[in-house]
Amino acid sequence: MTARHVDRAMVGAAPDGVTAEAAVDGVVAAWRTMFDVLAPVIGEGGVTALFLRTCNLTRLEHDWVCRPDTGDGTTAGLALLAEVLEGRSVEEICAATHRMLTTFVTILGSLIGSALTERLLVMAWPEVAIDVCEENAKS
Amino acid sequence: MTDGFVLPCLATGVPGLDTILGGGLPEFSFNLIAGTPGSGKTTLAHQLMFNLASPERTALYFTVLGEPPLKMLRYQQQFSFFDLDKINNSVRFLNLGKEMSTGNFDEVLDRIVREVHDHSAGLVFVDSFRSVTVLANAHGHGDNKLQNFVQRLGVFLTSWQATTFLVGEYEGTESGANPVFTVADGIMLLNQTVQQNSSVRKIMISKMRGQATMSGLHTFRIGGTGIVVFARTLAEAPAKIPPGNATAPVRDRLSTGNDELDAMMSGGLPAGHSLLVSGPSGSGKSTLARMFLAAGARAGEKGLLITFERNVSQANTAEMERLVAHGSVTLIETPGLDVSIDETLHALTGALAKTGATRVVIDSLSGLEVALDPSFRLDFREAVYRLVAALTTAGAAVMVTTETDEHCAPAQSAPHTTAFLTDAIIIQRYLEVDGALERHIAVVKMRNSAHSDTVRPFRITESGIEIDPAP
Repeated sequence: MTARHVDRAMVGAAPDGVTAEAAVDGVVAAWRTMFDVLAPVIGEGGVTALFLRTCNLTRLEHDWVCRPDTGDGTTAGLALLAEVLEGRSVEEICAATHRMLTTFVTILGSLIGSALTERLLVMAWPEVAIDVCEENAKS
Repeated sequence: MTDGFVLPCLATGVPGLDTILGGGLPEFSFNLIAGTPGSGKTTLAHQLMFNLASPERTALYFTVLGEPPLKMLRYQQQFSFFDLDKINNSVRFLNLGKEMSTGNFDEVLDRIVREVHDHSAGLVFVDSFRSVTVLANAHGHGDNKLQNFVQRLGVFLTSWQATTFLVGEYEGTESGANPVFTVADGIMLLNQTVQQNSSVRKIMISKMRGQATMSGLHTFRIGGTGIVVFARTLAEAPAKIPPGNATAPVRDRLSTGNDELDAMMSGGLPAGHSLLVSGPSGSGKSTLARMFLAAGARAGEKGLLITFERNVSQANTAEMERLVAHGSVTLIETPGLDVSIDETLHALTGALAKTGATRVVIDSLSGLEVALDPSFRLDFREAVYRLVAALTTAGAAVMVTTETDEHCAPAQSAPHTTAFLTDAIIIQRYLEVDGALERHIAVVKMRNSAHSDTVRPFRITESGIEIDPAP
């Protein structure tokens, strides 16, 4: 799972020419899809903890990104994220989301390995699955 | 057991486990994998799951509130049985945390039933089921409600033709009071005993309906391939001498590698017999043991050598290294510390079967005793008996060395009163003669065979030991 794969997923979330409002909806939907895939496997608590860590690390670069509480579930966390994304430009939304998704994937990969991470995330992002399959076929 | 319905069993793929289960795991059974923290429950559950799961028999691994799934996935991937290709195909991880947090057993059961239906599961794991019990207590549910839940779960999963494993931190002592233990068809109890600075893992099949399991505690080790169980076997007594025929002649004799010693033994060590070589440090026991293996190699026989000292090369001599390289002698690796007698026995009998060896050297019993986990040292004689009996029953001639304490004391056959365990005994000792130490050797016992009763001086030379001719 590479930054390019994240970019590929982002295309679905915030395609070119989209409004900031639509971009927020797309980004939140992308996160929600991923959480739905991961929560049955690593638990709601596991997903929440990863999201919390992701937000904290992303804030080093984008200090306006939300800082959910440990008690917040993923639903509350995403609501907070949507809140802070609103009012930002499409470019800002895309840049922060790119950083967040990359960070999230990196953390998950460091915990359970990149191969398993990839297997789980392609379930959430079929666009990425196509890319990965193409890359595997080439290699 | 009747001639009627034969219980179909699954081959678990966990080395040694099917042996102690009595031939495998009954299909559609409802099992409990119980034990203390760190005893290997989750590893066993994963190993069973990855071995048994297939597209035709999919597995669901429900995690509750025990080991966090993230950590479980992280650490279980270190084992070679963890097959990434099976993830989300024949193996699915599902988390019951949300349902469990409500304390509503109906919700938990509904979720399990729904997932089992949706994925046509043939294998179901719930880890940790202890969490279910704890939450039941936290929500004020009594044992009756828990028992009812477990029974409904068991009936559904068995009817669904699923083989089920509940994983939980339970002590064997609570088995009488816990409803889970009552409902389960099979109970595998794992523990890790600690004595002095050593620890050893053991497993016991305390219950397995419809199966004639091997009773007692069996040691197991967790390595890179997962769990390997070493069944506690007690080999049948070697049947070399038919009952009531104590003077039956022995057949083939194996050369010790020294002609004089062979003559003292009426031609050598009878095939399939055991020999204890006892003597103080430096008296030449290991030299004789390696000569025994070299003599076998010259006769076209294969040999096994197991040593427990770590301060020298196992082969010890250039000739032995050559024989190992040539494949005439196989070195048996040991873990070094916390050795279990069953693990050693399995390593030796496995190598015997693989190589067809007819000679085995154990060098030395003193080293083995130090390397053994303390729990096995308590009955060292029984351990050595099982080891020697299993090897000789398999047809191998066994030479074991053992160290005596005193260098110039009167001849002492062996410490540990292990002398009766072998068919033959050779002692080596030092005598002070004209201000110099002189090595002497004698054959003090040969079961069912004549032998010399002389004590002979001998020397250790580059070619091994040289014994003075008979006077």
